[in-house]
Amino acid sequence: MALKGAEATTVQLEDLVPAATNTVNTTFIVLDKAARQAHGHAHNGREETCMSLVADETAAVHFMLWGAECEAFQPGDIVRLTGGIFSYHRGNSLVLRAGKRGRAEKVGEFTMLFVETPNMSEMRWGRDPGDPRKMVQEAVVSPYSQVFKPLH
Amino acid sequence: MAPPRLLAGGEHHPSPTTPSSPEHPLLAAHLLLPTPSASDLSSPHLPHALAFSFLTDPSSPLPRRLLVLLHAAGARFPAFYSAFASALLSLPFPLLLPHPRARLLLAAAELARAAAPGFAPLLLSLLRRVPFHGDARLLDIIRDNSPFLAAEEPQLLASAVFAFLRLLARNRLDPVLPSPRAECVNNCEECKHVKNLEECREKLVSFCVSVLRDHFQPCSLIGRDLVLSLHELVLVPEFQGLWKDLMSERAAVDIGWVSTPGWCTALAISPEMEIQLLFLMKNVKWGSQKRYQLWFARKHLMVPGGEERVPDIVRFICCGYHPTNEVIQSGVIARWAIIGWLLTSCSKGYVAANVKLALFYDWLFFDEVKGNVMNIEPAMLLMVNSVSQYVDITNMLLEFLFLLIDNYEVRRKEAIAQCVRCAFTVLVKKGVVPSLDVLMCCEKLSPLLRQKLVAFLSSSSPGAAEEACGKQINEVSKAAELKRVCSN
Repeated sequence: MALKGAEATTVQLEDLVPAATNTVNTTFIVLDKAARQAHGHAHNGREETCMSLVADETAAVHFMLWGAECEAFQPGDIVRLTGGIFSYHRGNSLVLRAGKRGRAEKVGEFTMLFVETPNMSEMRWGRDPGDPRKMVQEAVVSPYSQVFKPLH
Repeated sequence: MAPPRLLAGGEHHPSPTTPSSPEHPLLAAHLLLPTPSASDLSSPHLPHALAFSFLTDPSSPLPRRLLVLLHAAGARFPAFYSAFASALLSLPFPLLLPHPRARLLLAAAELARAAAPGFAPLLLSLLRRVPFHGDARLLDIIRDNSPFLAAEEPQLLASAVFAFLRLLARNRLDPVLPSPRAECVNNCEECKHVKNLEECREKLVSFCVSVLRDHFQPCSLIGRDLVLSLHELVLVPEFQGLWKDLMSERAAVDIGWVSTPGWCTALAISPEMEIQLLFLMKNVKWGSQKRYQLWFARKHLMVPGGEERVPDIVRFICCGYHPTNEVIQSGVIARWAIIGWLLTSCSKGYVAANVKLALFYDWLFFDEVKGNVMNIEPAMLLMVNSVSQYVDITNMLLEFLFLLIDNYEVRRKEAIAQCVRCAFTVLVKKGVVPSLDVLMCCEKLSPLLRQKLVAFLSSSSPGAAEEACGKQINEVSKAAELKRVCSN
């Protein structure tokens, strides 16, 4: 089990490791946002989602916006995520998201530095041979996001 | 019942009950003192609690007991008014809901009426928000107090005139329709009768003209950007007489020699623009600026009336922010590059012309003793650094500079030419560029412009041109020889 209190610590994006726990607290800036997609769900109607590229001074990652978040956040917004989750979504895409118990809030705009590489969603992760409960980086699939190309 | 809200913001903004919300200090004080009264005069929470009551009390007009309490506290504690004004200033203006926003203007009017400490910064910050829904009250506040302001707060009066002149100049180019009326949740009379400056243009014009006539001294604090603005408005009939008088008294010429202070150029852009531009120019490294530029453009330029603000932004960059050598050498994006981006993003020809004028304006009055080389540096570096890849920009700017010399003010033509020559010389002397060879001997530059430049720099003061170019120039016809010399 993670140490008690670990939930309250804030991480930088380069420290993200895929895990099935709602414990990611971090702050990032939204760099880009894709067009929205509406998914049909048999049990709870339609829930809109929208992929975005977010980053801080250490790394970038794909952040999946859900429902009202799609409208609430724009490129250039600085967002604080509490209780987020970094895990595989629909098979093999590795995304950060607030999840049902997490919360994303706009706390500012524009004034944050960022890097676009490494992108934590563009890594291949494997089980740590020493501790199978943990994931470790195996390889870089792409240094930059393959969904959102850098502007040059 | 939940306490009323001050700021707009849905579930993805921090809740006012959390410390990260800008609403929190006011709400927290309100919860401690929900109905502030005379017995709370010494409470440290009173400034914030009273500010909350001022902004949210639904009754219209504002209950007298709140005004009485404000002045009782102000009379008892000298620092109270300033603390109250700072509490009002701490809220992000763009997010203020309609009722608190109308009430903020009422509070500013009350502080100004009482000449209470703290009213000047509050009014200055509101002037930078023009145009906004309900901004006509700001004109009333300044106008009602203008004799007092002229005597006691000349900088504030000058700021108001400048902010209004810039609004008029921008609106002349592209009249912005009044922003839609946002509904006040209390449906109160005050909010219903709120007016925009666009609706009272005549009142605004006559205010500016009368202050410029009656209180020219404080207005001269604006410096040469006052001349720039009046020149832009010279076709507006009400300003014509004023302009003629200023010209005949030579006041317009004299004031042209005064550099516009940085605080003044900052008035013509919003605080958000300033914060974002400064962040770009202080923190963002070369090569990483693209996304920031896109966000800035989306937020501030690609909105109604946005492009018309670019000349004001360029004035701010030239005169309002002078980086230290440390910043210049730290690899962050330079001022000239930001201006190059802004210039090339203008789609309207008349805006682009005003941007170029804004960029060269300090050249037209440049004086070796009083002139600040940092005001003229961006134009020079933009011309020089565009030569290799974007020579069209260099040609365009140089051509515009010659147009300005010949046509901007025909009566002062020779004086302007002398100032521009002096600007070139000082830029070399101060090491902004090693020499003018980069322009005078540049193969890529249009030959006609190059010839004109060589002739211009050598005419009347050949010494300056020699010094600048570091080469002997005897005749313009020796351009071919010059080319040979320089290419060695």
